[in-house]
Amino acid sequence: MELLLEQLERFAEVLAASRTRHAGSWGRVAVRRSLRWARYLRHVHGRFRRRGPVRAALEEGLRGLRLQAEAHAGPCSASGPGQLRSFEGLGRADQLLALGLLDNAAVQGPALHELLRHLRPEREEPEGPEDESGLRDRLAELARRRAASQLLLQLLGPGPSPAQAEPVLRRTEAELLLLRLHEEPEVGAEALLLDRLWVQLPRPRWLDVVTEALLLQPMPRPDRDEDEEDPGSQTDLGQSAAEPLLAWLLAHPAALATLCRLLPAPVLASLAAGYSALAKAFLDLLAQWGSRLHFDLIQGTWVGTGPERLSWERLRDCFRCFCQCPASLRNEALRVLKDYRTRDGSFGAPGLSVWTDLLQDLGENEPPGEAEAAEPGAEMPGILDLGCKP
Amino acid sequence: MAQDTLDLPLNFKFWLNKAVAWGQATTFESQQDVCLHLPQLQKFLQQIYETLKHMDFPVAIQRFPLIGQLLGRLCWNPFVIGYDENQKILMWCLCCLYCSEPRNPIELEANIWIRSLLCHLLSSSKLGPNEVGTISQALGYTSPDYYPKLLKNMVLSLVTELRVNHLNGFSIRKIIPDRPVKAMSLLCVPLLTLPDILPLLEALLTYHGDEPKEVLCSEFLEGVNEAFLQKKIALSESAILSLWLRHLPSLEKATLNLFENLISRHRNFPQEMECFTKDSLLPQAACHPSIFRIVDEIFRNALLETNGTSEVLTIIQVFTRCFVQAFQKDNQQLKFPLKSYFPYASSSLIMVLLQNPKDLPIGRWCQHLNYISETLQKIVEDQSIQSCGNLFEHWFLFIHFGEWADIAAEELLMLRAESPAALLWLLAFYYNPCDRNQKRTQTMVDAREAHGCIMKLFSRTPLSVKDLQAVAGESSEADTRHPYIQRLMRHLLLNFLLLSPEGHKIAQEFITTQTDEIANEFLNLIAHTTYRWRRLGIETLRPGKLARDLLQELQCYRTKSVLL
Repeated sequence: MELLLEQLERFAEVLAASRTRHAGSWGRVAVRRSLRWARYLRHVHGRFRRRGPVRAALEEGLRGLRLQAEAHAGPCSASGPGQLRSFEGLGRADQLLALGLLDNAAVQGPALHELLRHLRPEREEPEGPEDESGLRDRLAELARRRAASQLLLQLLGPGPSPAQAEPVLRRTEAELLLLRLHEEPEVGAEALLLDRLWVQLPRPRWLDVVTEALLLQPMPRPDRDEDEEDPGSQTDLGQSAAEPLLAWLLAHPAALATLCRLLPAPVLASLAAGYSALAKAFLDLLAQWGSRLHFDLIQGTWVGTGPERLSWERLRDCFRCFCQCPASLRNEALRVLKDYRTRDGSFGAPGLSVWTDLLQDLGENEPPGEAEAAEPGAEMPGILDLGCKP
Repeated sequence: MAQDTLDLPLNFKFWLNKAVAWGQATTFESQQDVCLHLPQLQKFLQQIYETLKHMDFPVAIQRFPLIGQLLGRLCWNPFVIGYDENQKILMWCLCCLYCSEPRNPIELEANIWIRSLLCHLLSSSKLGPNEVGTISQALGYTSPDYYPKLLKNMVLSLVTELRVNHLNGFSIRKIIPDRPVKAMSLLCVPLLTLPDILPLLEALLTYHGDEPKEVLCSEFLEGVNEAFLQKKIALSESAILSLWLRHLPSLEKATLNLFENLISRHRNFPQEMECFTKDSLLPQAACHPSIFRIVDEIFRNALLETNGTSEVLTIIQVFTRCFVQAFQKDNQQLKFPLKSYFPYASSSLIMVLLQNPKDLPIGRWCQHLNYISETLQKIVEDQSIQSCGNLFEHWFLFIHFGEWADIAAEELLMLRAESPAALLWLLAFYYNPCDRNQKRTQTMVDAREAHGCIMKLFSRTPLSVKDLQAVAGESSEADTRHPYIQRLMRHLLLNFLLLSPEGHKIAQEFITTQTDEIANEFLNLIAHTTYRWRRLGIETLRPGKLARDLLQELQCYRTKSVLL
């Protein structure tokens, strides 16, 4: 077992190196050996994926390796593309290696020639023709799937970036995000990863993906290799993987505020309906922003002043959507509105308290004995009805 | 056409022109043209690779100066890359051209170009069609992680869309008009055998537009059927039913394919025949009367064209058995009366023939056979005033359930029949339906005589091959009996060989003296008899083992004689 773990460690190093300029010094022999190694680990994957204890030990070993690497090179060192992060990754070790070398402009001449020789059918391979053709076939399948995605993309709508394609792309990335969080070696590492991504990626798009990931139904973990059923990996990758995401979001007011500001109201309401902690946070934010609206006497409308530039329409749409959600969220939203209305003095006349007007809009404005006072003025709302305090 | 000639340079020019004309296949017409040519293109690419693999870059460029242009264009055409093994062969070709140690700027350039094309095919540097790669890459994933998931979600999205559209079929506003559905089916043509898109294939096959006109393109329908027949894809029963209902050529092809396979490969192995027939999904699909009637029509033609060869009879019987099983299994929810499958036959006859012998005690078989015989005789006697076509229909129906004829032959030899005449009539009708009344009387006389001769053999000990040959009419100079009677006689004789201990001793010797054709007929009969015994669970009562041994010995003998 120890020997196996040691080999795993070495190979992880080789794989990491294949994408660096160090691989530029590799010759034919190095490429051949590393491919042979990858094949061996693929074999290990195939042999032990159904054997709980060995698999668990290997997974533990991989986790150890990653922690060790992070201690050396700082967090997220294994975040580069094509690294060995999970037991499932072993099943694609040869593919990762081949793609890493092909992608690496430093690998040239005889080294690359050797790699390409492995992709041709008539190469003699004394130690296992099946594995050889395996890599070839899997790369060809990859090319075929890529072409298939290109073809099907045309069906998701006209033009180079069809409208219907967006949800599909987002969903795919959301699934990868959940998978990635699941692969993190220890509790807490997820937050570091999410911090990095928050800084690194374009905001609106990234938050769309985060939202999608939170909204994904708990699903059986998608198989990494369709041709190889992997019973060991059939854990749920929904809510459990979303937990660190939720925790991170709640700990990052700026991210929460951006979500609350940018997400379409129905999506915001779906998120709130799915996670009560998010519902509370969103309602707090909306209440806070709503309090900053002031009534423009000339235009007869509520206008936003805060840096968040929240409009009356946006506020109204959000509360409308919240009120269409299941009872608990609806009640919570109404409770917030009513609390704030009370705080504002429970005026019944329009134009005095944004909360009164919102409740009125939602058809929920029924403070006892106030119905007669709540008649809206036409152009000039009841700013003159100041005496109507209950 | 290009593949007609083996002249590679000429082909090369043809395909280069095609590649230029196709571009990235953006119009429906060019897509159709690509789909039409994909199988030939694959053959050509294989040919090119076989040539290239023996050359290095300079020689290859000398021989095919425009190879770069051809490969480059093809690599950028997703129809070409998506089809079957094209992407694999193109990758091999590119790998062949790579120079291990480039000696001049051209070779250096070529190396860079080859690498970029390979990266493009595998998209390891640039993920996704738009700028979507950034997030996957930031997460540390590469194309093998990304594409399977992307494809799955695309398929899911399209399937959902088709289903919603289908449910809204009668509403005023449809989400997808029929034209894009046609385009969708065409785009699937190169991808048919890619397992990821199977749900989309099934959703398309069960999708119907609101016009009676076909909304799927014929290339798609033919391609799906072909892939299914070659067992490259596994479709659900409902999808394949939908395909055959909407595309008649596919159904015909599937039926002919079943025929060819059963005759060429599984002739003497009834169990294999049954498995293969069930796997074809034709009996299950035939639970829909429209499918059954078309398949049956093909059977009818085969029967007429071959003058009722035993192989064709067997295929019809195996198919019917599988169909009845599927029908009875299916019929709990279903739906169609038996009459809709056999519209020309009398309902009472259908009901008696449909009776599974397994569900009757053995002692009542004769009674049931008598009943079948009576019913048929009544119809045939009525026939004298009706058309010959109607007589054929009843005989054709009887042929489907030929197992009862086999049982009749067996019962005749076991002397269990109270009225052998009725059973002999049934057997005679099975072998010769077209007799007019007078002729039938003669046939019956011949049949009775044949039966009598065989029965006498039981008391003869020791029995010799000569005795058998005498009964079979081989010792006389010319057997004047009608060929139908000869077949009937052989059927009875075979049962004698299996059922009498004396007969069994010399069975092999006797059969090996026969002509190939007749020996084959015997072999076929033995195989089907043993299989029937096993199926009906009566093997222990019969000399089943003896029959199996005989079958094995004869098969060995025949294989040897064929080899010699």
